Amino acid sequence: MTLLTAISVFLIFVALLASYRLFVGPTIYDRLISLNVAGLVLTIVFILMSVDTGLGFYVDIAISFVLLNFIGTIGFAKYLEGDDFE
Amino acid sequence: MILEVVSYIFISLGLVILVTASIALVRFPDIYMRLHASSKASTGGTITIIIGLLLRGVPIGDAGKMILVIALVVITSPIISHAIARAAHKCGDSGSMAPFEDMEKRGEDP
Repeated sequence: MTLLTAISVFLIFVALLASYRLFVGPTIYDRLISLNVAGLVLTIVFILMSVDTGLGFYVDIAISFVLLNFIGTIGFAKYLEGDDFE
Repeated sequence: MILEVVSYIFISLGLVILVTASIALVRFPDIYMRLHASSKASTGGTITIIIGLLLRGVPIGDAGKMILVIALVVITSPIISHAIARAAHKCGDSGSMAPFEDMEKRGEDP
């Protein structure tokens, strides 16, 4: 177990801490921003796993994770805002 | 050796920034304060950790993809924060500034 593996496990707990608002958030926007931050932390976990194991395809997974995070959050914001989204 | 130490310093700094963003998400009382803290801090923590990993000497293709991840995060994170804040404001969430907005509706100067 290297130091990078320990950092990955610690970052998973950080993502759990960031997803506290995902479960108890008062409004839907709190849940949305919490999901966004947790997804960003998990992206860093993927990149850490790529450097740790030497397998390059984890970075591709991280790129697609960032893009899906963006598309999902923008779609939710458009759905919540209503008709006049520019 | 020195590069490895500098790399771990960068990664530790990024971890501190990310933990700060998560604690801000839990502790702050208002959606706008949570957006203000977490969007900037999570972007900065991501960039710092990836720079720290790049200093360890990864292969050149993976390094290019990591720089692409940095560029994507820098481009998309402000757009996401802006979209969420705009949706919250348009749907009538006035946060903890509600007394001032009531004064504006009555025509007084806040």
